[in-house]
Amino acid sequence: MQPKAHEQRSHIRDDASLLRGIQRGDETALEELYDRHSTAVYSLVLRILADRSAAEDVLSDVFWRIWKRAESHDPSRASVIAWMMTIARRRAIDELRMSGRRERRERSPEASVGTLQGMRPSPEGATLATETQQHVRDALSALAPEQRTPIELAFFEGLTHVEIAAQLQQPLGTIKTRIRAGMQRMREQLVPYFDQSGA
Amino acid sequence: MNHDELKALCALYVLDALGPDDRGALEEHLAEGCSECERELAELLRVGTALAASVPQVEPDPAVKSRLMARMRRRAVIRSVPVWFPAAAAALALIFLGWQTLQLRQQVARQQLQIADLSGRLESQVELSRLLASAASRIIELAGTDVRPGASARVLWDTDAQMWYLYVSNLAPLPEDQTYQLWFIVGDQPHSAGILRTDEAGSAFARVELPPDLVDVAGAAVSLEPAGGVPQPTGPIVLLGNV
Repeated sequence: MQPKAHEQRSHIRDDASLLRGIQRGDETALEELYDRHSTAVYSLVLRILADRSAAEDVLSDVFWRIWKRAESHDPSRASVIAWMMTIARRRAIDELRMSGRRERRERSPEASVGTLQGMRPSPEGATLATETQQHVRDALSALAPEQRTPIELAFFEGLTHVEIAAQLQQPLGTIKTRIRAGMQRMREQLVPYFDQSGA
Repeated sequence: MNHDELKALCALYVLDALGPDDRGALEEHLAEGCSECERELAELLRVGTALAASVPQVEPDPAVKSRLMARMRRRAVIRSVPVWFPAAAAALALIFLGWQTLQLRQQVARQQLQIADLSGRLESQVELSRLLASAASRIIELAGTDVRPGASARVLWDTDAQMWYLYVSNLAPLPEDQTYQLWFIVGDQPHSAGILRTDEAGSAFARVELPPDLVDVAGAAVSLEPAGGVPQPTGPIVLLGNV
C-alpha cells in the first residue's frame, strides 16, 4: 500500500509524525498529509460513489475527521494510511447507503469510474499504477470470479455477507468461505510486495 | 464460536462484511487478547488497504483542499480563543451598550433642546408674520449712536397685546462684565425693559410685554451697562429711536 517507500524516506515527516502534529493542532501537518494521500483517498471514494461532487464532499469530510480525531488512531492496530483508507471507505459506503446511489449504480453498471467522462488521471496516480496498483490488480484478477465478486461487493459496495449471499443467490456459508479464500489468496500474492515496501 | 471460527471471520471483518453479531463476537475475542487473530487481522488489513489503493487514481479538484484549509483555519481561530473570552466579550458588549445608550440619551436630550429652540423660533416667525399683516402693529426704528454707529434695531409693537418684538443687528458682543439694556422712553424718563443678549454675529431678539401702567411711550433706547443691568441708565446709549 505504500508504493512510494523510497520517497517517504526522503520526507521530513512520515505519516505517523504528521498525525502527531495534527493532534497538536498543526495545520501544516494536515496539509502535508492531504497532499500526500488525498489522491488515494479521493480515488477510492470516487470508485465507491461514482460521483465527483459527492466524492469531493466525502474527501473533505475524511480529512476533517482526521483533523478532529487524530488521537483515535491506534498505531498498534493499523498504519496511518490503512486507518485513513478505512475511514474513507466507511464514510463513502455510508454515503452510498444514505443517498441510495447503490441502487442507481446497480441499474447502470457501466457507470464505473473508468468510463466516467471528465476525469483526468493524476500524474501521481500513474506512478502508483505502475507497480503497486498493477500488483494488486493482478492479484485481484488472478482470483476466480466467484471469489473476486463477493470481495468487490463487500469492499466497494459495502454489502454484508448476508446481502452478498442474497444478491449472488448463494448460501451464506459459501460466500463466507469464498471471501476468506480470496482474501487469503490475495495475501499470499501480496506478501512479497508488503515485505519489500514495508507497508 | 471457537477460535478457528472467529479467525475465519477476520477476512470479512476487514471488508466490513460482517453482521453486528459476528462483528461483536470477533471484537470481543480480540479484546480478550488473541494475538493470533490480531496478526491475522493486521495482515488482512494490509490486503484491504492495498485493495483500496488499486483503484484508478484520480486527482481531486484543488478547490477541495482550499475549502478544507479555510474550514480548518476558521476552526483554529475559534480554538485559539481563550476561555475567558466569552465573559470578557459579554462584559465589553455591556459596556459598549451602556455607552451607546448614554450617547443616545444625550443625543435625544440635545435634539429635544433643538426641537424646543426650533419650535420657539417657528412660533416667533408665525407671530411676526401675523404682526406684519396686522393693522394694529407699529414699528419703531432704532439707529446706532456714535458709540455703535453700525448697529440698528427695529421694534415691532403689537398695540393690541401691548407686546414689543425687538430685532437687533450688528451690535458688537460684550465682555462678560457688561450688558446691553433696553429702555422704554416715556416723556424723557427711561423705564427698564430688561437686558439684551447678543449672539456672536451681534444679533439679538427680545419679546417684551409693556407694563399696563406705562402710557404714552415715546421711544426706545439701548444702553451699555454693567452686567446684570441697572434700575436707571448709567452708561452710554448705543441705540435710540422714537415712535
